[in-house]
Amino acid sequence: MTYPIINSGRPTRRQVLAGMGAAGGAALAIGAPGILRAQGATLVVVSGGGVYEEAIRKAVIDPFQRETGIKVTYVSPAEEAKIKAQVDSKNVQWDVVELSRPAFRPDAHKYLEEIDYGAFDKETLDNLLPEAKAKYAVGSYVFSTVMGFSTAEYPADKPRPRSWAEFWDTSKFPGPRSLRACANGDPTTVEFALLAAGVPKDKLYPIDFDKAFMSLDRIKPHITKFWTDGAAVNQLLSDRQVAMASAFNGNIEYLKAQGAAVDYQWDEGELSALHWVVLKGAKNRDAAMRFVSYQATAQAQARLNNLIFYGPLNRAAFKYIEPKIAAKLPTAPENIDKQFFRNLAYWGAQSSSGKSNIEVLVERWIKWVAS
Amino acid sequence: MATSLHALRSATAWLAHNREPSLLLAPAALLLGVFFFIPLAGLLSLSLLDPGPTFAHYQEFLGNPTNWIILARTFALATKVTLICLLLGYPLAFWIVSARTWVAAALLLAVILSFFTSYLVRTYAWMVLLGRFGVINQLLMALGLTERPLDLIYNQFSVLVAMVYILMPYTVLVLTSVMRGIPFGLTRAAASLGASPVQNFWRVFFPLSAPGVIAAGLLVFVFALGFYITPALLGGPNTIVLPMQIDTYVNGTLNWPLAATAATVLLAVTLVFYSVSNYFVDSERLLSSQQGAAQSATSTVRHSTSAYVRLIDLATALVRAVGNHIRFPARLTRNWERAALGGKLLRGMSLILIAFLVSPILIIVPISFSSSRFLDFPPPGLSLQWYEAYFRSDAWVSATVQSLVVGIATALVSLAVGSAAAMALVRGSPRMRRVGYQLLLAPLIVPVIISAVALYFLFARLQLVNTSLALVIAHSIGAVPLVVLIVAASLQAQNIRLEHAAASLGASRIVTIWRIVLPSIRPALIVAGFFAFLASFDEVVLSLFVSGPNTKTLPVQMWSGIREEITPTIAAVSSLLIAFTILIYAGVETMRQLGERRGK
Repeated sequence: MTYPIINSGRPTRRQVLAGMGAAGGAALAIGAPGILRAQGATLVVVSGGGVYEEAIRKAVIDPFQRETGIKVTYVSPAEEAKIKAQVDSKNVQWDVVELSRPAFRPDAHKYLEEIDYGAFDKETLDNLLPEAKAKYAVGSYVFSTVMGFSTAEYPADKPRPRSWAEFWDTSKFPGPRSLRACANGDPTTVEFALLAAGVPKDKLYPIDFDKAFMSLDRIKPHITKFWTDGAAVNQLLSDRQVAMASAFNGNIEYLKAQGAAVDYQWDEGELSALHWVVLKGAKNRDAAMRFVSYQATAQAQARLNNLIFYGPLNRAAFKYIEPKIAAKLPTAPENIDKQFFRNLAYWGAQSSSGKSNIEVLVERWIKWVAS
Repeated sequence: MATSLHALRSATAWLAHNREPSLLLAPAALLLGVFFFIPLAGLLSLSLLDPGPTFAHYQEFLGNPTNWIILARTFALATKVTLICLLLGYPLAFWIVSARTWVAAALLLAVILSFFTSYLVRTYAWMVLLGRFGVINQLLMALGLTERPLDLIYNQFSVLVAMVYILMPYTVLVLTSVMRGIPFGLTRAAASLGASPVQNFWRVFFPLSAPGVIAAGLLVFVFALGFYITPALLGGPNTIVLPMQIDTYVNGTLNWPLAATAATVLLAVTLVFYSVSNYFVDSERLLSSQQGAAQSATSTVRHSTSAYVRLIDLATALVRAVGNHIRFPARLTRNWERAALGGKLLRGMSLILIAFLVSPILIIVPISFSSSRFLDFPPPGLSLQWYEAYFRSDAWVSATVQSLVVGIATALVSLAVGSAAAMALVRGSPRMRRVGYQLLLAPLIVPVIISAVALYFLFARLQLVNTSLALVIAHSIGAVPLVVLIVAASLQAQNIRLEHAAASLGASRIVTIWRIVLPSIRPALIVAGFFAFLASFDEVVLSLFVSGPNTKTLPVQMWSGIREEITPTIAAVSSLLIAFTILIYAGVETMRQLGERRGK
C-alpha cells in the first residue's frame, strides 16, 4: 500500500528496543489495568513508516499508552497481503492495522473483527463523518487526490487548469501529463476520466466503465507515465517531467513548502479515507477496540492532523486545529464540498460477473494499458 | 510390497554408489527443499486446489488474450536485455582478463562499484540522468544537438538502460571468472602454429569461454524475467511485464490462486525455454565432467562445435581470398586485425560501457552533498546535512548493521552449501547433474514475489518472522544458486587429473578437496562470496516480507521512506557504501596480490 504521507524531512527515529519491549512489555506495563497486565498484553499496531510513524507516535500512540497503560509495539509497513497470510495460517501477530481497503472486500468477515461501536463515547460517534463508520473498520484520516500542476508551465498570470475536463483539454493546456495507475486497485484515474467526460461528481457511481475507458483513450497519448508511488509523482512534478498530474494533496503542499514550482487546486479532488481494522483472531482484541475508538476522538485526530497535511474524519477536531493549517486540510469545511468521496463500499461489492468491482477495474485497466 | 522394497533397495544402492556427490548435495537439498520447494508447492497448489480441485484459474488466466501479450513482452524484454549484456559485457570481460593487473583491478572496481549503490537509488539516478530536463538532455541542448528535449525516459529505452545497467556486473563477473580459467598457453600454442589473432580468438578462446557465455546468459535471462520494480518505475504507459501482473494479484486484488496460476505459467514457460536452449546450445557442457581442460578443449572444438569451426574457417578463407585480390593499405589491415582481437575498437566500446556503469555514481555522490531537499543535479549548493541525518538516525545506523550481519552470514552459509553442491554437480553422474542443476537454479527462475509470499506463510507458522535467521535463510535461497553457477563454471575449467594425482599420492578425498580443489578455484570462491553478500545486501522484496521491526535491513529502511518521499539521505547512504566498497576491494586485492607473491 502507498501511504500518501507528508515528510517533514527529518529522519525517522526508530525505537530500537521496541521489539524487546514486546517480550518484556508485561513487566514494564506498571500503569496498566490489572487484567491487561495479567495477560501480558502488548498491542501490535501496524501502519506506515517514515515520517508518518513519527507523527502518529507523537499524536496518538504515546498519549494512548500514557492514558490507558496499554503498551504498544509499532510495526511498519502495513501490507494487505500479510493480513491474509496471518489469518489464513492461523498465526495472527498483528492486532490493529491502518489501511484503506480490506474492510470493504467481500470476504472481510473472514479476516476482520466487527467494530464494537458500543465502546465509543457519544461525542465521538456523533461527530464522525458517515464515511468513517464502517462495519469492519473505523476511519482514521482522509487524503485527497487533487490536480497538481507545474507553476513553471502555467504561471499565475496565465490560465490554469481548474477541472478534469480542462486536464483532458490538451490544446488549451499543452504539456505532458501523469495519472495514477489502477493496477493495484486505485480508482481515481477512472473517476477523473468520467468527470472529464462530463459526468457530474455526484453521479459517478455506479461506474460506467465503457465510458471511462473511452475517455481515457483520448488522454493516453499525452500521458508520460502512470504513477504508482507518491514519491514518483513528486519527482515527476518537481522535475518538470510532466506539466500536470493527479497527486496527493499533502505531497504537493510539501513540495510547495520546499520551494518547488508546483501548485494544486481542490476542485473535483477525490477524498479517500484510511481505516483502522482489527484482525480476526487478534490476540489483544479488547485493547485493539480501545485503540480504534481512542484514535477517533476529536483530540487525537486534531493532534495527528496538526502534524500532517491530511484531514480528520471527526468534525469536532477542527476545534483544536489552527485555522492556518485547517485551510490546507481536505476535510476542512471550506474544502470538503468541492470534492467527492471514493465509494469504498462500491469497489468492494460484487459485480454481476461475480468478481468485486475492484477486480473488474484492475482487469480492464491491465487490458487497456497493455494494448 | 516387493516392488517398493526393491525400489528402496535400488535407491539405497544408488546413494551408496554416489556417496560423495550425495553427501555434498545434501545441505543444499535440505535448505532448498524445506525453505523453498515445500512452501512453493503449497502456494502453487492454490492454482489447482482453491477452493477445491479445479482448472478454473487456468481457464481464466490462459483464456485472457491480454495475458498472452504480457507474457510475450516479458520474454522479449528479457531476451533483449540478455543479448545486450552479453554483446557489451564480453569485450569488457576479455579486456579485464587480458589487461595488466592494475588496469584489470580498476576496471573490475568500476564494475563492482555500481553494485553497492542500492538498487532503488540506481533506478532514481537514471531518472535524474534521462529526464526531460535531465542531465543528458541539458547537455544535448547546450551542445545544440537538439532543440527540444528527447524522450529518453518512461519508455522501453529507459527500461532497457536500467536493466542492462543492473545486470551488467553479473555478466562481466561470471564471464571473467570463466575466462580466468582458460589457460593462455593454448592461445599461445595456436599462435605459434600460425593461427592469426582473429582465428585464434574465434577458434580457440571463444569456444573455451562458451560455458561462461551460457552461464552468464542464463543468469541474466532468468533475473530479467523476474524484474518488476525497474519496469514499474521507469517504464512508459504501456509497459507491463508478468511479474508486475503477479504483484497486482498478490498485493492489489489479493487473488492468490490467480497469482499462483500466473507464477506457474511463467515457471513452466521458463523451463521450456531452458530445455530448448539446452538442446540447441548444449548448456549441459557447462556441467559435464571433463578429462582435463586442455583435452576437453580439443574435443569441444572437434565435436560439439565442428559446424561452428567450419563456419569460422570459411569466413577466414573468404577474408583472405578477398584480401589477396583487393589490396588494403597495409596499416588498415593491421588495425582491423588488432581491433577484431579486442584492440582499440573493443577497448573504446568497453570504456564507454565503463562510463555507463559509473555515470549514476557520478550523479549520486554530488547529490549526497547537496543543499537541496530534492535530487537536483547539479546541486544548487553544498552541505553535509544528509550525512548528519544518516549518522544521527538510529534507524539508518542499525539497519546498516543489520544488513552487514545478515549479508555476511548469508555469504558464509551459501558459500559452504553452494560450493559443495557445485562440486557434486560437476563431478557427479550425468543424471544427478541434470536434475540437480535444474532444481538448484529454480529459486532464480521463480519470481521473487512468489517465493516471498510462500516463505512468509511458512515463517509465520514457525514464528520466525522478525528474526535475523529468517532473513539469512531467505537470502541464502537466492544466493545458493548464484554460488553454484559461479563455482561450477570455474570447477569445469579445472584439470581433474590434479585430483587423481593427489589421490594416487595417497591424499584422502577430504584432503584433496581442501588442498587441491578449493585453492585452485579460490578466485571463483571470492567472487561467489561477494555475489552472495551483495545479493543479500540489496535484497528488497523477500526482506520486506520476512523482516520485522527488529530486523529492518537497509533496503527495507530505504524502501519505507522512498515510497513516500525521496531525500538526498539515500544518496548519502549510497556514497558511504561506495567508499566502503572501495576500502574492502582494495583490502581484498592487496591480500590477493600478497598471497600471489608469497606463492611464487
